[in-house]
Amino acid sequence: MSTTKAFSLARKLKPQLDYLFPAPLIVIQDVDPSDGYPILAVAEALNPASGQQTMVIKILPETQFFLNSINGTQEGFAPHDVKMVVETGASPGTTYVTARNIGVMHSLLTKLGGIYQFYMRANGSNPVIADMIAANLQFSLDPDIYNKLTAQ
Amino acid sequence: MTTTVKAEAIMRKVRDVFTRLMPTYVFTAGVDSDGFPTLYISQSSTPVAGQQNILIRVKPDNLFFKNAIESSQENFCPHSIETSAEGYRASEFDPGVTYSVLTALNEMKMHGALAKAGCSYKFYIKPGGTGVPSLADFVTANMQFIVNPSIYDLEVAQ
Repeated sequence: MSTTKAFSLARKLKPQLDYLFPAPLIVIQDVDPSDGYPILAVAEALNPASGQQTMVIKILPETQFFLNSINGTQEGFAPHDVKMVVETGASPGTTYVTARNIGVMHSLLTKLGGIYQFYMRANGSNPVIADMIAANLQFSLDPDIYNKLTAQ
Repeated sequence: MTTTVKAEAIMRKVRDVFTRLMPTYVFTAGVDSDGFPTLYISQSSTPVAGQQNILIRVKPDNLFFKNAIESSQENFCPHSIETSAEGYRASEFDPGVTYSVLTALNEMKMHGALAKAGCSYKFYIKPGGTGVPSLADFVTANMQFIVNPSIYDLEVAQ
């Protein structure tokens, strides 16, 4: 069960990615078939290979701990998580994504207003959404809830 | 001396954020020749080339205009946050493309924290093998990208 907000955030992000990651990089938009949440990817090819610059993004609401009024799983609508996964480079702690490209991506995703979570999967295979697991989580940045970020 | 109170205030906030994000690092505050605040985040008390070093400067954007008495226009906003890191001596992944020596984790913390500070965010990489980051690195040739704030979009928690 996806949310309108997740798709709204993905729609906002897509043209920014198109603009900031021009060819030869491509921007791919899809949904996670298991839950319907939107997925975006920036890659060098439609079928990315290990060792390439591939960044996979998924937007979904935070998991809720509560039950709803009929004791079912509480539906979650906000806040949202913005997750990104990349492949670890040949050296530990590095990635195959260039400093410029990953810097732009971090900057865009952290400003989206969600909780930004950065994952790195092990070297040897291109990143996929299944890599967004706790063992691969590098860091999580929360939005500044009380600080409206306008131009200084 | 052309620094601004806002630049100082932004830098105080930046330092506060990084103190929590990178607690084991050494923080050295300074100013550039115009008095704009700088912050050096380094792995060692004296920065060593090849280590995790980040130089940050906050300053108002340059203006093209004259003030009411035809002198250079004083500027108070918008502000820019500039950061510089060191590049690899030679790329082991993709020759000709610049990588910084920062770990992916530190890059994420740095870009993530600074891009949403409400300023134009500019990132520079100095060529690998030319020493630790310094104020002289803030030149067009080293610039990797600028990300501007979303002026009309109040970025609160979604």
